Amino acid sequence: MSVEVSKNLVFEYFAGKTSAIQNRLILDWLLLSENHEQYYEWLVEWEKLYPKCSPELDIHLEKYIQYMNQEVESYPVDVTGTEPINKLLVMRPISAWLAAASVILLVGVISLFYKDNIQFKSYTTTYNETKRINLSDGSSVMLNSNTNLRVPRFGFGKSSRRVRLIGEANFNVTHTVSNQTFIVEAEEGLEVVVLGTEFTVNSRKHGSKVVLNKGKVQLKYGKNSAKKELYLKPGELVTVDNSGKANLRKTDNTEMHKGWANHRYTFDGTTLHELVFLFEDNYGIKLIIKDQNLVDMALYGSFQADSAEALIEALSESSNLVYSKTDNVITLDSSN
Amino acid sequence: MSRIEQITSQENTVDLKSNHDQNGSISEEVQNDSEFFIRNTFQTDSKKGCELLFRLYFKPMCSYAVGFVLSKEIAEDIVSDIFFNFWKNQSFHQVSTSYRGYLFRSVRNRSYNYLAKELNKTDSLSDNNVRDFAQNETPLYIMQIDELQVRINNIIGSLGPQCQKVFLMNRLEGRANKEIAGELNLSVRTVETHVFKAISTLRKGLRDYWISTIALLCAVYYS
Repeated sequence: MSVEVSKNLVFEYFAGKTSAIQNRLILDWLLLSENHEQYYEWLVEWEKLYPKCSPELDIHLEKYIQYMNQEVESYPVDVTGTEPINKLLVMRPISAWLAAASVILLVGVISLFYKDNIQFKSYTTTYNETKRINLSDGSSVMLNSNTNLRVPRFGFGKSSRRVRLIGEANFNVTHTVSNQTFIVEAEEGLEVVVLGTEFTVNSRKHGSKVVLNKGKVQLKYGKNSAKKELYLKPGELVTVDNSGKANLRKTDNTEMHKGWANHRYTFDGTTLHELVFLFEDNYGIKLIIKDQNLVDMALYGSFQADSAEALIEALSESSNLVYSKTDNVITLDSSN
Repeated sequence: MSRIEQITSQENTVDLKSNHDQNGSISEEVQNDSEFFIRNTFQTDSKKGCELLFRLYFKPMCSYAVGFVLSKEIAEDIVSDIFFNFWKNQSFHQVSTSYRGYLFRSVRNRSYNYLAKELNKTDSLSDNNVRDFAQNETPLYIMQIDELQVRINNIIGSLGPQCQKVFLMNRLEGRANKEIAGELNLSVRTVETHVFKAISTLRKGLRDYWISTIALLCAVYYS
């Protein structure tokens, strides 16, 4: 069915002068979604022709431009604290005294090598280990297994609060008097910027995940050239895959995403495929799924398990699977 | 004033590219052109793109919003907020229709949410419905909401002339009751009574319409 509608008729409609039958005609015309563009085009034209008010464009535009400029400036990107040492290296490159130069070079190379150790304190957990850390600003962090958290030794909580995370951790960040932001750098250029709140970050090589328990956080993701950002509300979960694509969804139960802190694993439609990553990340165990039909099988339920074996045992029992374990490999198969 | 210089120079760029005609009204073709031009701008400078959209659509968007919310200030707030979010959430990357369509849909939905909240302060339904744009909006939804403007207009038309005048001065122009009283040679008390009466009539008229059509429609639409 193709309905023709004239601009005049639609203008009359905007003015409230059309009859019910004419409205019906416009409705039919709008059934074709291609016509929506035309509708909006005419709407703009009509509003320009018969304005109902005279808004202050200049004042609001000025505010808008200010807003856009301030948005960028309020979150400085490069405050990593790597500047001083690098500068030292650059400032005395060519000297008449070769010896002095080589000594400096040597020191430079060494400090470059150990730069991370000098500048940062690293907290690491092994497989099947969780650890609670209290930072100097009063914030606390719970590390999941196979996780590394790097915190600046100097000036933390003074010039900035910026940490780097590889692995998974639950953050409980204190709000400072000076409203200083707390930034978690994760893998693949993902950054979590907060003031004071509680949230969980999972930064593994298969992709990242951020879950907010309370407060408000800002997320920056994507490679340098195309940084994007979004804001998270409590109960929201964002996953960022390797290609830098973000996916936001609601989660009913934020607690379950930090259940690992008590050796509790909650599965909410988690696939066996994802379970493979979990075993590799948390236990360093290779999980092999023999029956390929099982890969997309979804798991539901909550399990208390303090080892990989305990977890797989509970899972197999509840999902009618069988498993066999040798050293660092677990093979999972359907029971029949 | 470098700001003003910048603004004028940008106005010129729009003019150049879109052949603004002498009367300042933009023909259809040219409007498409400027959308195309703005889309190109977003490729290189999204801040500039946002600014161009703001210049092009802020006024008509406010005019559209005023038909719903009947207040210049609130309309300006709604439209500004849409643009703030447009920048903050980098929504311009996700616009698959024309920017015009996206922005006007946003105004419609925001205005609707505003009215829903005003009418049913106790109704929590509106909170779930807060969204800037609807992907698959039906023609029925578009028209029911847009016809709300006509409905509102008719209700105001049904008010007594003095009451109508006072209400529009108060609400649409955002003028103080005292000022209105002085200009129309009325007591402040009378002005207040008129405003109160207008709002209750509007509220009652809309509520009836709401219950009969919109609420039902939205129950279907958002389910």
